[in-house]
Amino acid sequence: MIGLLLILLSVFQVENSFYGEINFYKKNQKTTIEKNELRYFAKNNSIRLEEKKNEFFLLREDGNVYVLQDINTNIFFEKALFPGNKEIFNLLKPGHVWGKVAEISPDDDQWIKKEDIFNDVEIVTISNSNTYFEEQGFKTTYWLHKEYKLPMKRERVTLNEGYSLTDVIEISINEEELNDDLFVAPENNNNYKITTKTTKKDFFLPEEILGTTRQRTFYLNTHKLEEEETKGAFVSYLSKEKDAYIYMVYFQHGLKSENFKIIKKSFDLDLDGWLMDLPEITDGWSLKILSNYPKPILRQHLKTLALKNQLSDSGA
Amino acid sequence: MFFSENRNKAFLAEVRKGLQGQKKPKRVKDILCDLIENEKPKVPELSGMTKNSKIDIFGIVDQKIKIQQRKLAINSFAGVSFSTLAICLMSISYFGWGYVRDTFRNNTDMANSLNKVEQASQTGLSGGVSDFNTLLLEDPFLT
Repeated sequence: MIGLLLILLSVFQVENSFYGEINFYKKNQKTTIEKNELRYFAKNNSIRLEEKKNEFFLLREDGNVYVLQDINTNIFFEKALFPGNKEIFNLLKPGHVWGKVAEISPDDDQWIKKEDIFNDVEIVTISNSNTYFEEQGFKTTYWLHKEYKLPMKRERVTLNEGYSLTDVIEISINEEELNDDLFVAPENNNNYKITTKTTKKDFFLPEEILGTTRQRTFYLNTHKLEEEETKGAFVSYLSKEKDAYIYMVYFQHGLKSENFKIIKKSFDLDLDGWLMDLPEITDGWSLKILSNYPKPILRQHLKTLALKNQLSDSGA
Repeated sequence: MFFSENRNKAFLAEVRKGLQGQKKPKRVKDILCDLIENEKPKVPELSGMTKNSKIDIFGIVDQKIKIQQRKLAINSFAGVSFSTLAICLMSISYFGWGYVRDTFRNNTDMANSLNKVEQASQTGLSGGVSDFNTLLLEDPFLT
């Protein structure tokens, strides 16, 4: 009976909804660097992360959605393209870190656990022992809110050439019943999917001429139950030897600027470099190039490629 | 004003002086316009005045016309040159800046760009969330 009560209590706790801010930054000996913040909302295994107003990520068990309200678009990411999903999810999921900490035996010499009361809030602290820190060169500390079973702060200290560098994550927690609408992608938006799978469309991929190998190709498909159609493709070439990147973004006409905006926002393409348009590379499609590679040289490569294709009548 | 203010006053004074006791010329404005358009038109009404005058009106008008034509030529040349220069500068900045910057770019900037590209390619995320993700990796309670 008591066990059942505890389970019910635990379920009640897990289904509670929370919101707040996550501040994350790094500290070296004296200065704070790379400071950033996000807003979060958590409810029933769904998490909403807001970087900017009207632009947010929905992290869910069944997939992730990036919502761009300014162009009324929902982008569904394939899970493979979102490797950090699991960690964020686990950090903000009530009970997850708490459960892992509870599993640690009091006899474990790698960890030191203690309980404190700070500003009338009961806090459980767990930290790697100094011996562990000296041996491994890094140390993790968590401060957990005992009632909400959520982390309030995490610090990871690493030794870098004799100096310590600390990653800090601070989470403010406000308990409130949140509306389910916060965790649903808007219905009136266009749905697209960023995937590694194409749908019946070949693109010309000039590895040899660019002198570097293709790294990845992503496709922008319409996201519909009945049929998916490729509307854009994104090919990235990275050359470590030449410290250069070349992104080739293919667009289907009509959706040109929208496609580019979607891909640019999805892949954080706010990069140093230049942009060039190559109109109508093949029927109904255009190509946009983003690169930091010297432009005249790349233009020459592409002209040669176009000429070659014209002569061979390959249609690329 | 066709003449400068002082020259204009002097000219009008001279005209008034020259016309004293003579028949008042008709359509002075029209005549002046004719003077500009036709370099030396014959104006019978002014013939008596110009003979007696110390000022060579036709000379002044000729000089004025030449100055105006010279000014016009200089202005046109300056306008065309400025526009050409502006277009050239804009073209160079648009087409050439990327090349110049990339050619002389510092290696650290290149490495940062490359890291950013790789990170974006790996996470599929933008901005702060991408940075946040890297902080969470290798955490013993999260991975």
